[in-house]
Amino acid sequence: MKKLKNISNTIVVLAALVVLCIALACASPYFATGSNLINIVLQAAINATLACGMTFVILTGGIDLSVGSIVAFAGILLGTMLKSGMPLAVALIGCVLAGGVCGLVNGLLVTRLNLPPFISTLGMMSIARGAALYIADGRAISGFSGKLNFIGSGTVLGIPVMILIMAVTFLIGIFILKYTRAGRYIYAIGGNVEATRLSGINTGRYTMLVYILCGLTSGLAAVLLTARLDSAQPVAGEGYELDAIAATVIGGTSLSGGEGRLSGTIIGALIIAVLNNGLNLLNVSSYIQQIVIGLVIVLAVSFDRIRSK
Amino acid sequence: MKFAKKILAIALVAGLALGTLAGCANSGGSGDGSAAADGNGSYKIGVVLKSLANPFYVTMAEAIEAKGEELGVEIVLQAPEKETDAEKQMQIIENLITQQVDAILLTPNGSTEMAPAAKKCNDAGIPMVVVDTRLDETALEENGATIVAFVGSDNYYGGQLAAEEMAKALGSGKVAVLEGIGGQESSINRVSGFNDKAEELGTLEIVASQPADWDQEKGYTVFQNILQANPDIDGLFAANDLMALGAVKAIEDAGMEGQITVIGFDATDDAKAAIQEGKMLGSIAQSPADMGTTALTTALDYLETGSCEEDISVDVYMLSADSEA
Repeated sequence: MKKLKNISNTIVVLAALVVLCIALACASPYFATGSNLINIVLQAAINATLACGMTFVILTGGIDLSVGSIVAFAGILLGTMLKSGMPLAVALIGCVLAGGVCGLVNGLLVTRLNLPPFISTLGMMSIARGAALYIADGRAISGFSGKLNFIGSGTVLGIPVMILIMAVTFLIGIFILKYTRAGRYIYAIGGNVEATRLSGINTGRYTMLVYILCGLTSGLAAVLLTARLDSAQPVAGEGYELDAIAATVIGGTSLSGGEGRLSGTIIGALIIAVLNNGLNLLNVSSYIQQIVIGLVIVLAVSFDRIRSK
Repeated sequence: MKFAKKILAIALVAGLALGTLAGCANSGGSGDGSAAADGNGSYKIGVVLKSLANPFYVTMAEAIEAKGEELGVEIVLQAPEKETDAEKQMQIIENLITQQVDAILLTPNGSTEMAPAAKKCNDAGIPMVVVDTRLDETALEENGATIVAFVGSDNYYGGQLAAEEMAKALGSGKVAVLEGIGGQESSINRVSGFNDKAEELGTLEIVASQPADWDQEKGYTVFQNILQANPDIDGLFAANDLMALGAVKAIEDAGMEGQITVIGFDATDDAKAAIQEGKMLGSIAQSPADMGTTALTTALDYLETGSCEEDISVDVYMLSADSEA
């Protein structure tokens, strides 16, 4: 029964995306062009990657406010490593792992010290931002002599590399949630953590796992952002946590945990990107754009509530 | 019942989408037919500002839009919510390229971060005019990108103007200078403009010149130290208002109010208040409106003739208690 409800949830979100696209295609002659549609997915890639990890956390009933700061911190590490002459592969892996370590600390705070996720990740949000600013001395790092260009603006068979990285991330995430024991336990923890613990499952371990995964996707998003701008910026990623949460929630994942799908999350990220792009193309004031995005978040969650009553 | 609710949900989403579009059609309607008119020499210019949360850029936006209307040019103006958001500027530029604008004016949120965006414009054959903040030469080179022009404040002239006004106010005397972050172009130009003019006039003796990193707190401590070493100082030129305001506080704490003539740079609201209270003589003001309209006419120049002036300085002026009134 629950499964059935989840499917229909994703379909509703998908329908919203399709309706939105059709409406925009009618309103702007530039919207439904091949290059613009690729544009949109490209513009969604960073947020979607973050939202992928965020979905894992929210499925357990948690929240991660630190992802935007981790993007800046890991990005600055990537920039520093590249400038110090480290091989590209080492720097890239180091960047993703640095995000994972931040996630590990979040997980330890939540599971070992029993801090509410809101508080522990709020702390990490400030710590990672401060560390990024300190390491970079407040300034952007650039001058990678084109090493990141393949990721930032390269294509494989006409598809931008950034989109491919995002797609692979989602495939891995969907695999974990659908076909592994960890995936089932993550849903179970979000549904009822006490019952899950009493049935003999090490809930601490799997809670820790979701924060590590969220840290890793933040590190990956840092790679994408740094490559896209060919610079690492200590003030990058401000507010990205809210966009990632919005994508997850619009995609139908319940903030109280236990319910939701990654396929919904990717559609949620696309809806945000389509709105931003479409409103840009229609030359709508950036003030109005913020209002519209806010309305969509509120409406998306309201539908969810109405439906599940 | 559940089915009915689902239908209701979809209907509401559709309603929202359509409502949004209806709203857009009203606000953005002026440009809708422009694609067709493009061939008839009417240009469509994309403008990307740092943010519209800063009055400096709101003034610039209004001036560009007014100038665009006057010249019969369509202006597509967009800005991120935050001045630190370079990635959002990148998105806006990609979307402007999609809209096939004829040229893009950009006030970059980051000197290096926006170089890849310049490259995208190059690839699309859209000329870019950079306004207010320069793009980093090395970053442009590494991305293989070029811009057609830079339009910014004449910081050197601003420094000269400050020296002239200082000499006028003091007659002659000993002055100190607070510099911005070392190596930054705007600081170097403001300070050297002041120094060169002071030397030319011969009446101002510069007894100290130290960096305070554009920072109010540092302006306070650095100027305190300068006062310790040179208690007989008559005037101070600070390369921005934050440092000037820090120094004003140091002067108050030393009980030397009214003895030192302070000139700042930027004409921020706090500085304007200090000028009104007589704590500062004045502040060198940049003109975002002139900057914006100059950038627009430069871009149009380039579109019409295929070339334009590459480095354009916009005049600055001294804002004092008199000019305020």
